[in-house]
Amino acid sequence: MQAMISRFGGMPAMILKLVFLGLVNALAILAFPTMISTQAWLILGIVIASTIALDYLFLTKKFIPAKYVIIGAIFLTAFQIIPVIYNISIAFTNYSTGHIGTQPEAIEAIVRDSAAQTENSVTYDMIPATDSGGDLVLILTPQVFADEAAVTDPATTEPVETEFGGTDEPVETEFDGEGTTDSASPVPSGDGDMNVATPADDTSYPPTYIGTPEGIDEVEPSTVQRDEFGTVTGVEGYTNVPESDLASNDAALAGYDVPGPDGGLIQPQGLSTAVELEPTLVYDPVADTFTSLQTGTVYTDNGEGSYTDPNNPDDELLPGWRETVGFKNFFRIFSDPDISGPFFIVFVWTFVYAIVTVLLTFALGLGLAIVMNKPGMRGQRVYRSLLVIPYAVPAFLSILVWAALLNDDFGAINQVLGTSIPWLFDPTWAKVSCILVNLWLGLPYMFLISTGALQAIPSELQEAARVDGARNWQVFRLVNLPLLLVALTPLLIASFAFNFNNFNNIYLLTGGGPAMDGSNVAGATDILISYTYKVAFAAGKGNDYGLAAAVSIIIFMIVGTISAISFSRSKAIREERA
Amino acid sequence: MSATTSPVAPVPKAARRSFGRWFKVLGWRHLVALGAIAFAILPVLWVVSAAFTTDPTISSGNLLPRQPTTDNFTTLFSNPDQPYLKWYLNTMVLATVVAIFTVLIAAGAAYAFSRFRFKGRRVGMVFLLLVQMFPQFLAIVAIYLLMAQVSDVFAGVGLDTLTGLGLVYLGGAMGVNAWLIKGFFDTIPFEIDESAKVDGATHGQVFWGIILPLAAPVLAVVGLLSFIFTINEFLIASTLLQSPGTKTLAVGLRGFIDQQYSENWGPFAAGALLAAIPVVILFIFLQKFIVGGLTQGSVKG
Repeated sequence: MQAMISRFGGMPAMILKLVFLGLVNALAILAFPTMISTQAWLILGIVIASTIALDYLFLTKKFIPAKYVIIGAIFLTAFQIIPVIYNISIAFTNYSTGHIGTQPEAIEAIVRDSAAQTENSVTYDMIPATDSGGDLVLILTPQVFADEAAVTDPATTEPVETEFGGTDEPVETEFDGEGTTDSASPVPSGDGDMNVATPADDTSYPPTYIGTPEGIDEVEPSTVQRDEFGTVTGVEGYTNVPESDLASNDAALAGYDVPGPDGGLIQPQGLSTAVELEPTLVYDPVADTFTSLQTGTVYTDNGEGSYTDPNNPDDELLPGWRETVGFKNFFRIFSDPDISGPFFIVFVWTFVYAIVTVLLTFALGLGLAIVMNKPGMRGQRVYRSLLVIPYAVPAFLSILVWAALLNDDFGAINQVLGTSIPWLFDPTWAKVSCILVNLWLGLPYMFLISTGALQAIPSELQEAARVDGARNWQVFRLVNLPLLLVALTPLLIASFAFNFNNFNNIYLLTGGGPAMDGSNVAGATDILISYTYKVAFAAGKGNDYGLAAAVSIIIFMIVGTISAISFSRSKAIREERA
Repeated sequence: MSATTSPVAPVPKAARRSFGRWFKVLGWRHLVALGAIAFAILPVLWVVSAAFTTDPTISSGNLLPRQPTTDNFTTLFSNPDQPYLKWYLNTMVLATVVAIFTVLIAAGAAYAFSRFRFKGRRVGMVFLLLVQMFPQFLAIVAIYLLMAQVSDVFAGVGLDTLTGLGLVYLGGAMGVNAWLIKGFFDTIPFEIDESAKVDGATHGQVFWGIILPLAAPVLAVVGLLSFIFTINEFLIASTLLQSPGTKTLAVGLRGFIDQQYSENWGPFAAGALLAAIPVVILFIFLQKFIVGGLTQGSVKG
């Protein structure tokens, strides 16, 4: 024993501890500037608190038990307790697609998104270049002999869509790069007489500007370099971006906004032209309203994270911003016709699914246990180990295999039965399939716990009942079943709580489908947790984090109530209280 | 439900009874058991046979492939869009690392709660149990948004990283596991560690050198349960992991079944078979403990 102990004590342990603490502190300090600059206050708080707690507890001689709990406590706090609290706070906001950022960000985005090419918009020839500091600038020359094709290009007459991205979404760029690697000559270079297109003297040239994110500056005409047609090819002091590098600057160009001379915005269109866009919505900071220049409509803050037309509340400017909306998400669940109908169906099915699953699986598992629990029956051990197989295979694999087996066209079940039952694509059959597969998954567990509980019933009780004249059925109903239920009820409640949130079984088998009438999110077999997942993350249907968080709180209240009842009866807690 | 007459003693071979009577007492039980076993193992047999055949009709209908082939495994390993081998390694490494840390974290907490008496001990233990009432995955929206913020600070542990996913899983490490292990620690006589302390052992030496080795069985069970949990976990994994290279088996294989169905079944079955093998072996290895724990728990109530 002494040898075993000494291996773990003394210097090596001390060194290990110091290395560990060193790493923790180094990481925290390294991340500090980033956390400040990205304003990740929550994470900053967690990191600082954790680092201090670790440093203190591992260096002090006091608080010995805390040394053993602290790491687990940090993980528990960071990835369970804080998410739960954060989740509750999200449930009271309108956090969703179109309501990701702050109000100032939204105002900026609305102005930017409203920018559109108008009749008086100037189109510029553009040459991307770098200044002496290596920063990207645009050499801009207004197109006077405007090329017809460039102006009437349908793509440029649309308002420019700029995705108002959240922190997690890549901003989409709309660059096609098509035919833009040619030099930007608006003047057709013919094979006829070259002098025809060449302007006679410098004064007839339009001014050339250098555009930066700060604005545009006219450059001294003498520094402008031109080719023999008078087309601008560069400006002294600036290095043109080589054609070969243009494609890789695509994204940088797409996001390059140059404030124009009259409040407009000059944006690159492709790689060789830029267009001045005028905002069509004007923000009034004093009144906190937007006014449309086209229709004259005034949009006001509706208090729920959007600017809307008070006369027509559905006319909303996008994006909005994150705003606390109180219990609105909960009201939506119960009163918004698009949500409450499907939600109610999902809610009922969740209970039906969990209750039917537990009762059916328990009944069959217990029946099997009784049948097999017979002295003198041979092969019991072999039978048991074969019956437990579904319990040993990872559940997600079994469920995916069942999804293949139940396929209506090629699935083995329909092939063997010679039927064409739409196991997964008919609302009723899909529900049957979910329960059937869950029966397969849960039967070994119920069989095992029933067998254990059966064998624990003292045989004297049954014999005494028989002596008193009880028949087999009476012995089972009056002696065995009550004892079994006393022993197994906590496990059945736990099983209910588990299946209430059995996301894998639903989502991997049917994906919650088939689609439910009247809802573009919920499906016929969706349970609350899979519904939550789809509301929050369903591809292509928008992310409604606020609503999803609200639904998850409702799930918690249901499951929490059930667990609280069973916990309060639990022996473990009673013992700890005693 | 049990329709037999009286408890039957083991049937002596000499006094073999008629088939009818045997059937009435025992035979039907064998039939029921065989029926249940057929239900239990049919999907498993299907996977094995579908893994070794490329004929779609055989894979769907017949259980014994006529011309066994390993083509499905070749296909499985050669698709760069669905890097099965990478997923396999991802899953096994993640599940192993998370299991080890889960055991250490939970054992540490259990040691504190079992061996020390301090202020807030009982409150802490009850709190651990209560906090489990709000399962981690219910806060999936918050976990996703939190990890999106973490991405900005520590890109290596944020969204779309296995490390980040593992950290999230460790958030659930302490709760129930600490209770389970504490129950076992309580059965180790306190005299053992007290005598070691008299001999000059520190609390750390008692923990690493005495308690942990003695508690190996329960640590193995907790580790295995954590291992299986990680392998099965789909909800958080599919939310946090996005690019093909970081996926786990659960997230990746789901894509197989999601696409053009029957064409992918062969490779899918091969992949499922390979994924199941280590878990089933581990399960058989530790079956005694798990089944024992289940039945014990049920009897205790």
